[in-house]
Amino acid sequence: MTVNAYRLGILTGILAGVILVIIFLKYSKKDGSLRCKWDERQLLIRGNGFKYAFFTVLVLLFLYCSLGVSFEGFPLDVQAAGFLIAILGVAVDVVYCIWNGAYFSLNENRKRVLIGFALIGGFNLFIGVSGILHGASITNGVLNVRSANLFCGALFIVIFLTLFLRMAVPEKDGEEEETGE
Amino acid sequence: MKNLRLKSARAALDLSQQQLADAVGVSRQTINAIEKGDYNPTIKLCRAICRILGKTLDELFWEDEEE
Repeated sequence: MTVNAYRLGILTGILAGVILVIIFLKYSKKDGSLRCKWDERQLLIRGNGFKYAFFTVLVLLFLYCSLGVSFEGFPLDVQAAGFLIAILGVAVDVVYCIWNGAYFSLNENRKRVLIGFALIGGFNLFIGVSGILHGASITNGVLNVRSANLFCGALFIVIFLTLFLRMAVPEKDGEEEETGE
Repeated sequence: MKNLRLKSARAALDLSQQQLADAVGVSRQTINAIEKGDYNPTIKLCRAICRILGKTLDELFWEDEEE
């Protein structure tokens, strides 16, 4: 197997991503641990979230296969569609968990997580939008894999909107939500 | 069914949902869900709550027929 610059770049990117995720996981915890701690109700809710995400991905894959075969000029290439479907699955899980108070773990520092999310989301949106503006994300009128950053940025907008709505809508019989730590 | 006995036992000790949640190691939303009757806790969590509130399982979680 020949190792060309493209493959080396991809591998370096993945390695850098893994290192950044580890640093973020450690930075976002109150106890410095890498693992999230959930209570029993949160685990139940998260299980339901994964279930809904799974069925969302299943339905979207079926629709994509059907539409992709049926229509000429589908606006997404295979890789972009794969990313979009995965991101939509994640969005379903995240929205469900946030709405039911099972998104943040017990040992998570919410402020730090939100700061991290704002940075990651903003970075992805910037790359995504500049990709669209400079035409790097579009090949022959079809969105290519470079549009994944845009989808990722949109996911973080959805996360922030859901968090904002969750704080704005009072819980029935609930006490005030504490946003800080 | 709402668990008003849990809510009143907590209020009697002047504990907020967050304080009780921290004491038993769960999220505030979990305590809220138990009080609202939206979530049935495990025996392990029931015992932890009883221990903090100084009540028995029967006093907080046993439902009589007429209830």
